[in-house]
Amino acid sequence: MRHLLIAIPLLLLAALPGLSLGAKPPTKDLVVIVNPASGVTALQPGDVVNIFMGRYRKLPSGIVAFPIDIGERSPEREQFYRQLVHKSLAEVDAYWARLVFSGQTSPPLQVPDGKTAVQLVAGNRAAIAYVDRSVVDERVKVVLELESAP
Amino acid sequence: MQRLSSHWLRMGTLLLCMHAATAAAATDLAERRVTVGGFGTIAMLYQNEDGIEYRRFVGQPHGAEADKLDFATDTIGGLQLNAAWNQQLDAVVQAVTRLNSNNNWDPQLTRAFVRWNPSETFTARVGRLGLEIYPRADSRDVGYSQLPIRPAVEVFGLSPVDRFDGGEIAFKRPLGDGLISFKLWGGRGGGDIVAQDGSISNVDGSMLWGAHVEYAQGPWIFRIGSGAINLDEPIQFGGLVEALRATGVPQSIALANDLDDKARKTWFHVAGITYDEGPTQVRLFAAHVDTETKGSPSANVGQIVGGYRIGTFTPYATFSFCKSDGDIRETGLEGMPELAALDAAARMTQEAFRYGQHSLALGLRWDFMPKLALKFQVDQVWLNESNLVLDKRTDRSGDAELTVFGVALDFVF
Repeated sequence: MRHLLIAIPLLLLAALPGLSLGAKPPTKDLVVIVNPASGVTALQPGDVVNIFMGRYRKLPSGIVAFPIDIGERSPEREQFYRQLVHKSLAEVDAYWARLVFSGQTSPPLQVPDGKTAVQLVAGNRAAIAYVDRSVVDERVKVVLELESAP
Repeated sequence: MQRLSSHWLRMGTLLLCMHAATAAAATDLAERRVTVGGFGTIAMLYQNEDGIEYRRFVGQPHGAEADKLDFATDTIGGLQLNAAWNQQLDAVVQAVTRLNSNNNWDPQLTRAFVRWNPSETFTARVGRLGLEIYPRADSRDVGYSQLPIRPAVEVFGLSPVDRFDGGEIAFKRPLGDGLISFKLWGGRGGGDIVAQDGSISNVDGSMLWGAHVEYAQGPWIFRIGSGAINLDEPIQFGGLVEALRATGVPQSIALANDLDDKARKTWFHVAGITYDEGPTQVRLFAAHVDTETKGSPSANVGQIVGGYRIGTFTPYATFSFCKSDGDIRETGLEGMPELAALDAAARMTQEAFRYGQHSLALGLRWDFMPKLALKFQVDQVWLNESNLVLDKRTDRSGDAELTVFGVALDFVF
């Protein structure tokens, strides 16, 4: 027990240098987009959480959604999960490591940038993605504005 | 690698055929794609109790010895191949290398299944699957996915079985503000148990089945379930049973009859709660392990683990325990010097099936780079008639307490 008591303050001390990391303010005006033919006009934050975290991917219209992530360490991805589930990308990666290596389900498809995401959503009625509002065009439909999400 | 039973390969082929009938209607954004990923842990361990070898689970032939750096107990590596035909059908093959009962690192085939997902409410998997009697048991080897360096030894370390060849069906649907899911699974599995004397018992071919219900709402997940393992063959106690009967002493005869019990089934009744919101995560579960074999006592196990992320650091704490029911049975041979050896043998045999161990651990996870985590952990472990560790002390009857220091680098790719 003596070793344990010595270890506690050492562990806490070791944590100090990283305390200020991971608290960046949002910098993108993120929106969630779907294909206009998906039959979806709006989504609740809870629906988007279920879709992107692989819990339940059925859209209100009955289609099974196909979620798309932007990059592995992109600002969009970092901000999206921080706003949506209050998680860091390391926590999201740990979450998916559990589901992927236990063979439960698959993570969202990763594309390099927002424009590619818009292109894929425009061409597939099941696709759903988050992008900066500046890359949205008439081929896709905005169903949730992240800034307004609680 | 272990051979996957041909029966389950045939079942996988059947799933592929069933899928052919529905695939045409599927929205097929997911092109056919093959991905390769992996996970691993490189870990160092140090403990301070002479005569004790600290093990991760009962299938390990040796553990961390006192005052020596150990790199084998928690080090593990896995490689996984996913092949997706489309959103409804995919296959997974996974191999894992870790210290196994034969004291080598030969890769084991840990997953090999086909998954059919015709709708979002129904999923079927057939092949070699991870055993999920306890929450998250099927990802126990993926260090990066969890806070502690190793899964709770007092819970997961008890069972040599972590996979099975069989099938699983799962249903889920929204209910109220949450999601309810139900999973039913069954098949055959096995594994090795390395006893205190180094002998290896094999429980391959055991029938396993179980089910659980889970309700997830916001940050909360509630889960309740039961599972069973039916050993392919009853545990044999050889000449001990006959020797006890031959004494004519009523207590010895009663004990012999219980040891000779042909019941082979063990039930696991499990309940758990998870709270996971932003930087905070807390998981706890407890289980009653009910053995029908009278010679092997039932037990209670459980774990609570909690952590709070601060930037890239997550300090965490965990407590876990296992405790066998009842006490070692008397033979009635006490005070008979000529039968002292038999009395001792009966006691040692019973001790081999008893587990009494609990531990408190404090740790720190540092996500210093994408998909890399460094962990520091200190465990204080209290032993009382535990067979999770290998006890090489000359007098095994005493309790023991050890401090275990661990450093681990977890990665995924």
